[in-house]
Amino acid sequence: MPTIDSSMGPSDPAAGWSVPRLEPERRWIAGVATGLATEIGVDAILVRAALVGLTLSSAVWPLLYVIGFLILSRRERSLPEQRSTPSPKGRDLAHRHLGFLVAVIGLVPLSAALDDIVPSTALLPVGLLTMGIALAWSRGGHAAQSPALRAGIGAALAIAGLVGLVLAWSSSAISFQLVGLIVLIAGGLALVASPWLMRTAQDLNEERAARIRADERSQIATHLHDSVLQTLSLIQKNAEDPNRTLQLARRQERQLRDWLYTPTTATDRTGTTDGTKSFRLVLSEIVDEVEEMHGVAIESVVVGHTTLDEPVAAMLRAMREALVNAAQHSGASRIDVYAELRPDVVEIFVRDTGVGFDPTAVSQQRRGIADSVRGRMQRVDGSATIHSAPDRGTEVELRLPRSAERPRATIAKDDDGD
Amino acid sequence: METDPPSESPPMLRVVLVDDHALVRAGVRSEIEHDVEIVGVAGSVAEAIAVVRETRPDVVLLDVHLPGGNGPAVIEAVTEAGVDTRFLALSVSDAAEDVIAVIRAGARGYVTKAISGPDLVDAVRRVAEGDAVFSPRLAGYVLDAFSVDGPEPDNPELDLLTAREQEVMRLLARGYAYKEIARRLEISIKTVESHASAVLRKLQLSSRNELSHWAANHRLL
Repeated sequence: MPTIDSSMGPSDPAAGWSVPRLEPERRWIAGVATGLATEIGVDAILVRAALVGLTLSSAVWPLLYVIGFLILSRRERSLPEQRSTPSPKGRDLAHRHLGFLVAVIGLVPLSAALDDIVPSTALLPVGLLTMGIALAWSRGGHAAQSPALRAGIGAALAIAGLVGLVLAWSSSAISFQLVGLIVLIAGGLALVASPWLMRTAQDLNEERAARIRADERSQIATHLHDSVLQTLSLIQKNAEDPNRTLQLARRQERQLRDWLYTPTTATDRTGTTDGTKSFRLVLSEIVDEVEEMHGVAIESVVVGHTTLDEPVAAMLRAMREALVNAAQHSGASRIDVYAELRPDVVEIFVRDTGVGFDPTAVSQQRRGIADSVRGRMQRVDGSATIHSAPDRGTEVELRLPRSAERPRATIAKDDDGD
Repeated sequence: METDPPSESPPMLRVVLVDDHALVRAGVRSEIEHDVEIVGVAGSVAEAIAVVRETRPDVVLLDVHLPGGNGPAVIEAVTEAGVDTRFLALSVSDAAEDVIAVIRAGARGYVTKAISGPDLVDAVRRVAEGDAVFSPRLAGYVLDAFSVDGPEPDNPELDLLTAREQEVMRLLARGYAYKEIARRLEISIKTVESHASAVLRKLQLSSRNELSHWAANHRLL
């Protein structure tokens, strides 16, 4: 009955069975039971229960478990990639489970007979000792499992095994002294080994820190590759086009600076807490866009804070019109944007030092642009003023009185109504 | 210089350029070397201190970030050594705390590397004369740091800007040049300069807590 063989330990490959694999991913102890379960095609819990149950009849089972682990882990190393998806051996799961149970029950008398020949009182400590040693020496597949913890549990099991052996073989009073001696020796050994253990733990921590640093480094390298190196190669390709080169360099500079100096906590850059974008972020997006579209340098300075509500958003759209206008018509290579955000009023100035014009005698086209800026501002109860004179540059002044008290006043009125 | 045109009566300003990037040094040099004499360059804090002590320039163009310490370290060491020179911070850094730190260490102004050649020469000349140089960005920092909605200041003379000073700073932040500010406010350029210098002094001497607090919290723009 091949099922019995396989439940007892590694199956014989000659019998048409593939070698069970340790299953370190789903294991409780070493993965032997899980590996067997996968091989037979039954629930791992059943195999575990069977092992525990059989252990009650004879202490040979834990020993077999350890031997199974040692053999399997050796196989594992020699056949690392031969993972066959186990084919179901029974017709269905219930059949397999039934067969397994029958086999295990059949094993019980055998196991009990074995216990008469080799008494459990002697086997159990030997099993514990072997298990402890195996555990302490195994490397384990999980990085998360601490080797120190494994060594500790292994040592505890081994000591328990030793104590058991002493108790089993000598029933007189000296056995207690012997037990005390073993515990003392173990304690002394632990004391001697503790600096080494601590150093190992420390090395591990340092290794982990080094790995984190390496991760950060590679993250930075990836970022630099994706952004800076790409831009540099684009610049090389566009070397004969100064405007394009300038745009590329400027955009990259801004992005890199954002990346370097963006505070991780400030809501200022990434947006406000409720998920909407911040004033500064939207402004810098508009500035980037106009710079890129028209190849001008725009220097922006923002002072203060405000919430980005609809009137302010409209104001930023008006600012965009003013920027595009300046970029297209002023002939200046540089535009200054200054935004001052105060509780009572928001002001934005868009200034160029280009050709300028006489505001009282403007062309129809300029009139249109001026109106679109002004129109946007008037719709949100703001104002737009254009200061310009020929050869004196142009400055567009956007002004939005903040009715910050208005929403609060509405709520207050509701409260009053109570 | 080999040629000495008779029309050029004032001697050229002697300038030391401190930046750890050779490319930046070369770029700045090519933009201003016709108008100022570059007597030395340095790429680190130690080099900068040695070069400045040796050449005793009129103006040091100083990068905010340097290997082996930062801009303030150079200013402090040179001042301690008793060298009479003036510093103008020239940087791509936008971090407010860095800019405020270099100004508080004694720099007479701060301009970004995006500044045009002629504007930079003008700024160097202004700093050599003992005036303050505010780029729009620095003016913005000042307005933010001295904003009046903080608690009652310890020393109103140092901790608050006068209305006129605020006005000058606001126009600087809007990109106005000194002479444009003078025209707009109908005051002399000298008066504009004295307002700017007063603000610089306040920036350097103010013990206002919020200033460093603000700078530390305000790493961007």
